[in-house]
Amino acid sequence: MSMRSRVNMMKTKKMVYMALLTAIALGLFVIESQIPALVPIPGVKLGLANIITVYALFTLSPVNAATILAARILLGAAVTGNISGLLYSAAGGILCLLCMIPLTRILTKKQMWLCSAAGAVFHNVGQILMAALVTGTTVVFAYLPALLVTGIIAGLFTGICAQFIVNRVDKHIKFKR
Amino acid sequence: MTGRAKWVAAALAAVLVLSAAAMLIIKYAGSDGTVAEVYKNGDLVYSVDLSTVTESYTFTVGDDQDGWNTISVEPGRIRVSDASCHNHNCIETGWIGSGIKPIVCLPNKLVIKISGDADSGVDAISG
Repeated sequence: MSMRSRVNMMKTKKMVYMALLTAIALGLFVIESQIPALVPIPGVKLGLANIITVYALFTLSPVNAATILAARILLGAAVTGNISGLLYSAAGGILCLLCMIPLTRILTKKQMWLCSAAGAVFHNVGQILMAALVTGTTVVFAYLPALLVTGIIAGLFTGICAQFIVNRVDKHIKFKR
Repeated sequence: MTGRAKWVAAALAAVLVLSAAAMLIIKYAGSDGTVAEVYKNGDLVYSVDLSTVTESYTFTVGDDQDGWNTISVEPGRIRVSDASCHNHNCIETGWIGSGIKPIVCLPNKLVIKISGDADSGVDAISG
């Protein structure tokens, strides 16, 4: 096979892989959005779709992970019909991704779970900042401590899930980061 | 755990502990204020000194286009009793009469908070 078609095949493979991850993340997101909120605090959730986000961060390049995240957020808003929630998802997701990217340098693949928990912190901070901007008050920060506590725990959970996945899958699928 | 990861873990643990402590403080800290202030889209639209309320009453903020919330006021406390939003977090927050915790309806951009300022200058603004 020529060098060129070999490169093309790798690109296609990666694109298909990314599309698959996006589809999984989207599925997780939509299913989770059907679960009624346990507490009256806005924004408390498991964040299962972030399993894919943190997994992508450690197995693909940051740009790839950002692409998957952006696609999932947009599609998720469209599919669930919740366009107004897009603002908060995007704010949280962007801050979370930006802060997790440097963490991927500090932490190893084996410490993905820790990265996910840290990402949860930034995600919630991003959401609260956006909420403060939208409502025009700072009183929404009163929700931040509760969000951080539930968020870190949820982040640990999703991080451990991602950890299981990477431990299993890594021997079979490898891409250059 | 490798050296640098230890710092991340330690920072996370610190955030967790501080947040838990903050949660307790928010829950149990009283505030001197008894004035409930209602904000819609960032603007103060209504305020009432809950300690001067003798009879219960309700009113609605917003309309179908902007999103509406029906607010109940009783002596010493206030809550959202009905709303046009999807998740009804505002309703489930329940009554507030003191403290820092606000009632927030994000989809309708409504915030109700208790302020310590007994003399904010206005009792009610409408329109």
